[in-house]
Amino acid sequence: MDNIKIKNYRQLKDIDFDFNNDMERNLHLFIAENGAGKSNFMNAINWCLYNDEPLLDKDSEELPILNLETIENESSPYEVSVEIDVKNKSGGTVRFSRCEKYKNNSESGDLDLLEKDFKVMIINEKEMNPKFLKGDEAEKYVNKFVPKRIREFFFFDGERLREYFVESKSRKLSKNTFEISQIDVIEDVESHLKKIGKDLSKEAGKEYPDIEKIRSKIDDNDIKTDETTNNLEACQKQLEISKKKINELNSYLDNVPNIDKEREKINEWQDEKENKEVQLNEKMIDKKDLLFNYNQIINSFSAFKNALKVIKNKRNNNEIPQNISLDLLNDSLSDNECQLCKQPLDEDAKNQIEFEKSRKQVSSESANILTSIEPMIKTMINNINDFNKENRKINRDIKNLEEDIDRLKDKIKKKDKLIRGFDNEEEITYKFDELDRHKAIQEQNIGKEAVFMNKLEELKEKEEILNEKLKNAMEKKDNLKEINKKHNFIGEAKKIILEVKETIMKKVKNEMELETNNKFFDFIWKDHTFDKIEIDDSYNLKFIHKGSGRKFFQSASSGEKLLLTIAFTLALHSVSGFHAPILIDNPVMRLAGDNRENIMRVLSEVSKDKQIILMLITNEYSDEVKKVVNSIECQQYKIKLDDEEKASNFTEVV
Amino acid sequence: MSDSRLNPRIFQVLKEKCDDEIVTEFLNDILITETDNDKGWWFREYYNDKLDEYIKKWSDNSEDG
Repeated sequence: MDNIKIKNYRQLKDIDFDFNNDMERNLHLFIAENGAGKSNFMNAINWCLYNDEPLLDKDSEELPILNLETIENESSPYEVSVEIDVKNKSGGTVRFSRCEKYKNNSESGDLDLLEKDFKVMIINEKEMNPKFLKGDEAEKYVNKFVPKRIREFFFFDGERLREYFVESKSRKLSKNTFEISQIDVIEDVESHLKKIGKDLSKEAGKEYPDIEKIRSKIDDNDIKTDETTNNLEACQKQLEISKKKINELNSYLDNVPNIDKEREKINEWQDEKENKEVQLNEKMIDKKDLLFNYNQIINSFSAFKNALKVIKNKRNNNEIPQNISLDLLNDSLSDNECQLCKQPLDEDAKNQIEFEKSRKQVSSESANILTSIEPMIKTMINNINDFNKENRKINRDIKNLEEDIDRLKDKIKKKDKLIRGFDNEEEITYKFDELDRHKAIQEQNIGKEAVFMNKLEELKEKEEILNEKLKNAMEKKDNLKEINKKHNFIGEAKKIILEVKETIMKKVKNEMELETNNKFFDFIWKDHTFDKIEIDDSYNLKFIHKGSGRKFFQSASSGEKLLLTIAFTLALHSVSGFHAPILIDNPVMRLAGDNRENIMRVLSEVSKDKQIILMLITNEYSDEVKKVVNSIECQQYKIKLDDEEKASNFTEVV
Repeated sequence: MSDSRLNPRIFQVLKEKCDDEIVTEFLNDILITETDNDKGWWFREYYNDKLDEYIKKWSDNSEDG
């Protein structure tokens, strides 16, 4: 861009700005407060070239396109115009100019459009007179500067950076890349050759029913192919919508709990807690019963212990005999054999038994009672040991249950607090339902996509077979010599054009990938993170992580994404041959500190070979930005509104 | 801004892919015309004219071959 003249366009009442392209860097900065007309400068360029204003804010939408001061102070009719002078490859100038004339409607008070005009003037030094293009021809010529559909890679908004390479845009990206590489032209030739070939076979079919039969089968196959292609495209479009929606919902729901699911969880824990409380209650009853049952024995425990101790002492003092029955002793003596071990008795044993007999006969009645209650006391003490064991088990169970209940109470409390933190519960629940719905649609369409793709493959194979049959049938007819020649010629041309298309598509994609990588790694300030940039056949862009080989995009920093946008744009320029300038609105808005300086350095480097126009808001024009731009030769202008806030002026930053 | 209408890359690939000079010329002619004109009704007449023009040369060539 060499010059831009703006008359009566919104705040830009009278601007005649020369871009100084002879400096060390072709870098131009415009700095403005909010509302001073920074975005409308971008809009003016878009309006001139494409007759629209993509960056118009809501306040401006309600205002007329005409400058307010002009409407107030000047008499009708009014004219709004924007003229852009661009240098072309051969050193000449191309002037794009759009203007609209309005007059006051005295009855309604509105402005009526009187006329509008868009023209392109081409001035070449070699030719005496300039060439004028108007209407469609002029509109078409704009596409040679920057095609409307890819303008967002030339005139872009740094603030909307996240949207540039999301997957849903990749199809648009590949379509546009192919368009600017003129693959669409090749596709037109391919389609037209097919139609001419069909015309020829139709002519042949008029005379020969067998040819007509094959031809009609080819027609049917074509109809099915078109239908399947349309279905596939609709399905892929739906997949794009689902992906976009899922991304949007995921980013909204990032860190937001799924209220319904969380509630379900709380209810689950609540049930579990109640269940544990019932179990605890039962255990407490068990413990109570146990204590009740063993109460008397427990209370007599020390008496039992003492009795055993007395028995033991008396036995040690030989005050009570061994706990053996008198009958057993008598039987042993009469049988001359021990009744316990069944061994014959010797003299010593007989004497010992006689001694025990005599002790038993002479021992007191109390000693005998003690001997008889000893086994019962021992049983009681064993019972007490059992009680201890059982009591320990119940206590352990109670402790575990109490801990479980406390843990569940804590979990419920935390989860409840988390849910209560999000007061728009209804909306969150709705978003989660939407997310599930879109995921289901996406899954369904992935299946459908595969079916359609397979069907297309089958139809393609069938088409080849039918074409071969048609060719053979036509060649058998002597009368069709001329038509056959043409048919074969068209067939040959079709084959070649298809090969050309496939080769160029591949080349364009590979070149785009190579150029994007070259530019990105020329400028990246920390190359240890990235191994390379990958562009797949569907034009999805991904960073490949050095070392792990992991593919990622969204987790890259804003600075890195902006650099990728710049690298991709430069690659697009280089591959497509479009050498238009790059205009960035709010280039460093989302960046801070070092990243601001890094990106400004990159843009400064790029501006050695390419015109870069940056529109910055005042707080973007920070020390980091100044550090870079004040060390090089470039243009810096401030856009300021006048006191009445109706017209803006450009003043050079000194 | 580029003044060229057909991207030179297309012609270059066309030359690489096609050994037949007449088919190459025919395709080059129609590619240039397609680049300069909008999609529309004109193509049938134009393609048939070009086909008539090139088929003669092609036949002569085939017969010579």
